[in-house]
Amino acid sequence: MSLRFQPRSLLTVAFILLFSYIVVESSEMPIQAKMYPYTIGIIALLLLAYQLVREILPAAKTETDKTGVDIDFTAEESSKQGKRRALELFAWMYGFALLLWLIGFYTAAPLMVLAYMLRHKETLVVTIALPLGTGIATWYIFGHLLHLPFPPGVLLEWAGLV
Amino acid sequence: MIDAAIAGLIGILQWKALLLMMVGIVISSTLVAMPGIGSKTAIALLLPIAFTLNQFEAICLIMSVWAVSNTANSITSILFSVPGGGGSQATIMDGYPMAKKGEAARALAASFTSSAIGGIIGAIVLLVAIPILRPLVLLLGPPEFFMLVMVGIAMVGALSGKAPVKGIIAGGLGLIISMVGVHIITGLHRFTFDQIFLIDGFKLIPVTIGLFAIPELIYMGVKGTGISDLPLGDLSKGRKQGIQDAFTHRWLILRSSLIGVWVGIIPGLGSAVADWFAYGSAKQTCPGARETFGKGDVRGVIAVDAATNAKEGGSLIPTLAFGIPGSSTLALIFGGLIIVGITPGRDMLTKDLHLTFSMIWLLIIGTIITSILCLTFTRQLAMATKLRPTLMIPVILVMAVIGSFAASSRFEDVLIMFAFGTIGYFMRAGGWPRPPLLLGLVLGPIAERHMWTSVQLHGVDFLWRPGVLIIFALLVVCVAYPMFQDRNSKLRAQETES
Repeated sequence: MSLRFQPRSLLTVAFILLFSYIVVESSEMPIQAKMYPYTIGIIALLLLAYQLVREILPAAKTETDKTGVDIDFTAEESSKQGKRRALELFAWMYGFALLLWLIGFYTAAPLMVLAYMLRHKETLVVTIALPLGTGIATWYIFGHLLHLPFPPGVLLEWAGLV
Repeated sequence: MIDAAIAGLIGILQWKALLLMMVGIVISSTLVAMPGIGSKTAIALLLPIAFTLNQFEAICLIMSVWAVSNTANSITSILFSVPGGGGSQATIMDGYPMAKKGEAARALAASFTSSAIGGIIGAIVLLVAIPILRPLVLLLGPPEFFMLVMVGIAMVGALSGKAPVKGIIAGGLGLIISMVGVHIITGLHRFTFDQIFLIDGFKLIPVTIGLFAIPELIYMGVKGTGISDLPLGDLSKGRKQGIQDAFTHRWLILRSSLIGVWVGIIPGLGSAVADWFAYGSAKQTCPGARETFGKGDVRGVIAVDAATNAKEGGSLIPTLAFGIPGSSTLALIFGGLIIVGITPGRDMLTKDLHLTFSMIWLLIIGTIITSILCLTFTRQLAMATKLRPTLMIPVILVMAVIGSFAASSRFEDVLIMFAFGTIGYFMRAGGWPRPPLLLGLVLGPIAERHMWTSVQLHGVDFLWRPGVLIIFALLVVCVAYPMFQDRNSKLRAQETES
């Protein structure tokens, strides 16, 4: 009987490692602090072991990825093209996070929107209006009216511009 | 009680609260009409604003988004056969065929009118339930509350579609995440990895935005096209007929609303079940429905929309009385209420009764206003679904970042949001339901507090108290029943095939 390890089981394994860490780490704590994580951790580990066996045993019935209540992963998303687009969006997200850290919210937010518009070849009006609107909203509504203390960005600080 | 009812009404009728209610209604009606941006996303994005408001104002803003979301959901279901959210799937069954037959306006009008009536019925049931629930709630102690929290998580987990074990594990994951930070009793830093920003634990807002808004945003980007390419058609005809239909089938509305309330009371079932229950019931009980349902029968639309809106009143019952959110969206609202100092649970039926009444009033007033607005601006609302994802994605991303940062003015929260966005995406990809995780995060501290108090008071014997045993039996039924049902349906399918 050969086992069938699928990529999606990686998440199950990751959860097993996480809950194992919780159980091991909490065993060092005083009883008041460890009782709860210990209980939850052990129950979850038992359920995860059952889940992993279901996923890797060839005899186990194939479980669909559909969760029913939550929004299901579509065929489009599972395709190679879908994964490539998702990867690109993750790059945009983490690139945006890096930009926020480097040059701060006031500059990074409109700049990201502008770059996104240029990348997707939006019309000139939209390419100008949307980043401008985003910049004004960030500065006026969130900075000026709501007084959110946006960090200035390490590059601007280093350059002495703020 | 009458004083509390009047205080609740006055609270939400103050000009600022009323204005925020209107803002919530407009935002909800617009955003929820777009598939992929459900009420959860809308609420998650509005939560950072809520904590700058007083309690009544926060209730008006957050709860109006939720209370009216099912009304607007039906627009895209009827016009484009694209469900705006979980509660509007069954609306497609007869709403879309009606639109294809040139009766879109009639279907929309019937949908909005029955939504309004259903919402009012749900609120009235909630009102009637309060005097019954008050003494019941006072009978429950920490052991029973601990077990009730476990039931809530297990229910949402077990009822998370076709993966109940994954659902329960996701709930456990939420409980674990809620433990990060300083332990209140011992002062110990649990699972903080010596990071200062983790001492306060994970904040609800960045986690929620990450888990729900980011994966939906990616979905939108992957899809790469506008929400619908279908022509909008003429929406001005048939509105009067649709309104008349709703009143003609008033008993169907009442019946479906009661089904909705019943589904709402059970934590974890939610809109996605209420609409199908009501649709199934209408199909079985309405004369001639077996032949006409699915081909554009207005009764199919009326039954579904009345039930999904009435469900909201029902789902508030366990949330307010026992502190168990009736749905994942309510878990979010639950978090928002905690931010402004309102603790769902026993207090909502005792010292904060006026706040409970303000929610009931809001349900009634909000649904009526939304239905009138939707009837007036149907065409304009539907046009929002024509927006290109290239325009929506960067704007939502900026809103998500600012919303996460605003929670506690820490840049680390933005990173946490992105991290949970990635986790949320992979959870979706692997078929792991996300709502139980959120519920675990919200209910975790409450469960731990009740568990520790129970152990202090009764030792481990708290597990043998009659109330705890009864609730535990309920938990077992909640977990086992969907599994049993799933197994049965698979067996039946196999038999049919063979």
